Amino acid sequence: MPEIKIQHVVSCSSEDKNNPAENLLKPEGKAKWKSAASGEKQVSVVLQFEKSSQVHQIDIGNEGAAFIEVLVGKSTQTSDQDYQVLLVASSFLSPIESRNGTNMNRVRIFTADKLSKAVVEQKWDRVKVVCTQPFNKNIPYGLSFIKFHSPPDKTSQNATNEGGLKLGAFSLKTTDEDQSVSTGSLFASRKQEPEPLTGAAAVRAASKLSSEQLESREKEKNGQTVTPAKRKHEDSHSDKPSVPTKKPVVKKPEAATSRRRNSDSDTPPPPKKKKTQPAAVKKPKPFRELMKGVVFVMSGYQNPQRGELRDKAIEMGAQYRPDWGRGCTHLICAFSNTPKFQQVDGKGCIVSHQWIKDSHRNKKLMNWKDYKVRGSKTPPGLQDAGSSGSEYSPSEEEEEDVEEEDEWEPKKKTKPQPKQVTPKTTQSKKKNDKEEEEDEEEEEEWDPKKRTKAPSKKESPRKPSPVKDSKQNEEEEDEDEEWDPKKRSKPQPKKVEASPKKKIPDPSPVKPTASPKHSNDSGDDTDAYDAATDVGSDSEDTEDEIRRIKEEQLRDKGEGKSSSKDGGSGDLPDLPDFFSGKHFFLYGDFSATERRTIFRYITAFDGELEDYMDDKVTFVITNSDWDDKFDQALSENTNLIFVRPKWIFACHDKNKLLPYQPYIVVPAS
Amino acid sequence: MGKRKAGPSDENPNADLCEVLLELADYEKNVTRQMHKFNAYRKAASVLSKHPTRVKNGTEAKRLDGIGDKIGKKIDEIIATGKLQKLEKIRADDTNVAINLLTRVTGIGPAAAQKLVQEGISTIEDLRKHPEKLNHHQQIGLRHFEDFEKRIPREEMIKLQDIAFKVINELDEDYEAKVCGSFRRGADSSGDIDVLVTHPSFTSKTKKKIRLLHDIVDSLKETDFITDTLSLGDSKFMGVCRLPEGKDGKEHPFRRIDIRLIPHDQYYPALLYFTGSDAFNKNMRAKALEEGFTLNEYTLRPVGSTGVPGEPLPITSEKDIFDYIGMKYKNPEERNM
Repeated sequence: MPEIKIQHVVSCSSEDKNNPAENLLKPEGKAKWKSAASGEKQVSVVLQFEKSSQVHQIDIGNEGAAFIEVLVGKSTQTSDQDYQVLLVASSFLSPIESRNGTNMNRVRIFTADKLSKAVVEQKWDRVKVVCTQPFNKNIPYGLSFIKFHSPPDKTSQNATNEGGLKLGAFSLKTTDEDQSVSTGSLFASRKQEPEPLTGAAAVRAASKLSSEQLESREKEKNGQTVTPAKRKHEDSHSDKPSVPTKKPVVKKPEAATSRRRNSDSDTPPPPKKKKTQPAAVKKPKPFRELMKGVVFVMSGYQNPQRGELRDKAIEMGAQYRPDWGRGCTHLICAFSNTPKFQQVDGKGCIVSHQWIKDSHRNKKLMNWKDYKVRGSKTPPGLQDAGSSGSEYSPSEEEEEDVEEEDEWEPKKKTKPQPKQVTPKTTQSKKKNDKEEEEDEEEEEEWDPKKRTKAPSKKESPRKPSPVKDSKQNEEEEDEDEEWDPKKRSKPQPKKVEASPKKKIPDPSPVKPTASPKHSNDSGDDTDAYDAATDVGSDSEDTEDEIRRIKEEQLRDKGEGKSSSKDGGSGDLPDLPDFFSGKHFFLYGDFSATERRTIFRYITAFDGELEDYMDDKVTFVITNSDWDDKFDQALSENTNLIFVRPKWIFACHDKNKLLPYQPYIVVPAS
Repeated sequence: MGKRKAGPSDENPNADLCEVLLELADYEKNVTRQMHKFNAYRKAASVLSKHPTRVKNGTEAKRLDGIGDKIGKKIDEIIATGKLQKLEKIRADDTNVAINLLTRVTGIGPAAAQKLVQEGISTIEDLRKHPEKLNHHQQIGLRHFEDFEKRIPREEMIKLQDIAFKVINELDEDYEAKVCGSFRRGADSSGDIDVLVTHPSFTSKTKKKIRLLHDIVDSLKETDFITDTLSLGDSKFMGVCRLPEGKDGKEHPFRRIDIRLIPHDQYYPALLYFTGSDAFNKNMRAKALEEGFTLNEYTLRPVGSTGVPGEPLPITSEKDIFDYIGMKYKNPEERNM
């Protein structure tokens, strides 16, 4: 079950200086919220969710309270009375325990069936937690933690790791952590399920909160160190050193050697190499550790897909974080213009969900670069963080690379850099640019080759460089930032400007379509690349970049599309906003899924869904037949249009605003 | 509320006033069926009966909680004239008398009594001539009318209890049973016998039908302890029982018996509730509310910040309930109020 992010503390009745309510925002249970003084009969804290959502489960860690009650409300409400009880006052301490101070930190998990039925089915964005301690007037009390979970996806119900994991510090009454069905079996069942790309709706809403998110992220950073229990276990098992520590070391040497291009070409490979080697020694990673070291954040996905993806990744050993922060390596992103995308761009690997799906399906870690979201920069940290992902992938790949696809072959990355570099230097900047672009594409192409298994020959000589280049390219900019201040200052801005959305390198697994570039890469381009890499840092200037960008744009128009189509991995669409400025109101009965879908689409396309019938509403979506209320509503608001939900769906299908007339609801004659 | 509650004690200096008020109460309950008035009179009678001295007039009486203008005036009238006009009128009305009488039969409530009176039945004898007008319950109530009017001496209560518990425990040792009501409070006599039974296998979460109570009733019938069944459901049995014939061949009267099967997790709140007394329960509930809890015969729950009751608290004894609401524990004998 996905955890609902708490954005901030709205208010609290009182708080201890050393145990402020803000502590509840930290993911770990170590920091508590306590009342300022003892003897308060009731203390409460009001928390704001990042976005309105259903609460399906609540995990509460007590800190001395006898009873804890959870109410929900909406930030728009005017009075305190509008709170509704989600979890009735529940007992955490008996009078005797309260007086003796025993069992003060009891943890209880309340699942949906324990929550108020009428309330649990609605979405809320604000919660009020009320604690009471009538039995002991001598202790300050509060919460040690509280977590809210949104409804699970159909598939993820048996994988309730998350809650369990995060509670690691506490003794849990209910331990379902190790329900572990054999991972494979879970997989098998999940594979077949269609996973529609459904992330749109959240994006818009989220974007409005982006600034706030930033704050919360910062806060979260503190707590990020917390790793789910599972993760820790895995780590302990694994021989590999922790990714983050290694990476920086790796980068530095490489960076020193070649700044720009090198960074492109070299930086990624070296970490990979190093890591790969250890990995190579090891046997193929167990499925559960495929994504070990990957700390991912998701953006633009909604449940159930969100949960499915997360569960898969977690299943493979990845760690999930609600928000981007230090230590995060990958952003799984549905769109290229989400707030998180912008936040993460340049800091981490931004990939499509296909990466997780494919890795999961193939039971091996795919190279994330094949799934890079269009327009995303390779993070400098990526190499670090990404390395974690990429490292693993290579290592695994190495071991398994014979098999197929996305995995990068370590060889490519490992060797060729020096050779290539020299030729590159000779070549022109333009070439470099082009090459870079090509490289990116090449990478994509390369991968396919590799996948096809043919590549081994080519790869070993050339690929190392191109691959590196490509990866580097992607990563370059970001990396550059970190590595060389110069590079950062120049190249990145350019890229950013030019292709905030996508145009930069297309990491997308372009596949065969990209063949032209591919050929280049394989042949001369490799040299060009090398040259470019070398030259890049110093020689490139804005003009080049602009040129490059333009070229890329052109490509995007042409080849890019075709390439992007494959796994949906590479480039992600911007959300159209054809509902912008339109206000919708849902009237009558809808099935839960239908309602949700409508809501998502409307939100996704920038429409506004109104809770109440008011003047702003222009479209009434309804399944009902015409009745008097329609006339009434119409008399008050003559602009109202009554349409069937089909219209929304049709708009979604066509991805554009369709005329609503065919879907209009008219009075029965 | 049983029909055979013990009346106010004789030492009560305001006994006559209480009697009048209780008669008025019965009138309101049985004839006019205005339960709020019934409750008002009962409350007034109760508070008056506890007043240590004879009230001199209505004004003094009005200082007591539960006595207001109207009842105060009535008390003035009684003290001044020795009688109450309103009560005289009521007594003069045959219908009222008849209704009051008929309602003393178990199974005949105010509505049934009113209907019977309208059909021309005004005495127990009339009833006996027209058994077809009565249902099963009422017929048994009528058959044992005289017995049921008698109070049960504590001594007999103990014997009844012993027999019942023996049978129940032979059935299954895990049963826990208690005779509640005034008996548990140590009363010398009781109007009926009220047994609470629980079994660990039966909780409020139990979904499936349980045979527990049926098993008990069947066993008690086999031993001829239970002679009639007034009603039997999954959780409550109402019936008639009797002590076996003594050695001297003397027959014991028939007694009303209720057996309630209580979910194990609700046993103690139920025990508390059915032990009473009524007034004690009321006070205790009020105290619970003051402390932020809500108490009923099923559960003790904390009251949330918006007044919504919380989850039932785990309770393993009557003491727990007192503890939660900050009351000193009172033995059943101390709960007569």
